Amino acid sequence: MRSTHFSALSERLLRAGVAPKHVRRTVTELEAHRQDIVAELRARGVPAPQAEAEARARLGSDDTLAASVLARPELRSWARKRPWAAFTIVPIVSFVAAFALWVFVFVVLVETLKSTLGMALLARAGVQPIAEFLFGAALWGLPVLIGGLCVRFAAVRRAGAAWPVVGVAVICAVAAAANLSLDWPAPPAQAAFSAGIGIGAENAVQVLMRSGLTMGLVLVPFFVWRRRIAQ
Amino acid sequence: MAGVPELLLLTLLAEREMYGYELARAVQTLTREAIAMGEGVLYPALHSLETRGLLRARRRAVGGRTRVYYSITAKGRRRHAALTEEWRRIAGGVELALAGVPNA
Repeated sequence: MRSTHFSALSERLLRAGVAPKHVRRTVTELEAHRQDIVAELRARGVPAPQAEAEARARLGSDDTLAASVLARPELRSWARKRPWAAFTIVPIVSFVAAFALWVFVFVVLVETLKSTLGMALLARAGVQPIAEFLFGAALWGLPVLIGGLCVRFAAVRRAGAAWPVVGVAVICAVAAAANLSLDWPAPPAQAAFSAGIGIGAENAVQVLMRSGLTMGLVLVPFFVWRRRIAQ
Repeated sequence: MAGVPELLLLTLLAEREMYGYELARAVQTLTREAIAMGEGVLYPALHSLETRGLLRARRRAVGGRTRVYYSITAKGRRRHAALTEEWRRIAGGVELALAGVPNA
């Protein structure tokens, strides 16, 4: 239930660091309560505008309501209490875990196909280009996905931009420095899969460009959204 | 007066589950409107009690509307018993003090 009666209160609570789930619940219940009071007064013959005004007065002013929520630290968002963890540690660990899981699933899949279909058949099916496409998806898609979730998490909580920017920058830099490759020679040689991370003099510019591009893809929409909310 | 809303809410919910509007009406009736508070401030108190595991909330559709009903947990009943005892002790002490003061 989206209430226009309490939208200012909702924004105020989010900006003060109250957990979004508590803000949503509070606003939903206040709106239901307001409707109950109006129905009660209307049933007693009170005219609609007067009933609306009295309902709002009985619930309390936005100042009173906000103060009663803010007086309870247990209703604050943990991400606002520890932004360094929520917007840097959690997304970085999530990215590394997602990347490792992706590599693991890929290796298991290739090994299974190799043992069931054989290397020659897989080579004819064009494993190499498919693998290149999947590597690209992982190295470009995962940082955008995890970074995007990180800034969305921050945006919903009206958190400051500094920590999410640090988190996204680290994720994008790690992803840009990572590399995946699959060497699928003709049989009887064995396929070799390798994954690694590193920045050398020869690839520094490429890493910087990749990192900047993925950061831009994540942070530009974030800052546009923040600007729109501020207005 | 700190802890009074908590005691009142736990007392009412120890009887049966209720939703916010019902609770606000019940507080007014039970206290004969002696305790005046904005009806909206019930919700942060309810959410806080729920976060602390003293209440549980569930959504129920009633008459085409979804309401959040609150009920007391076992931990809430223990807390209610402790608060009631504490309140009686304090109220008894204040009563004794008032009785002992001339023209009080």
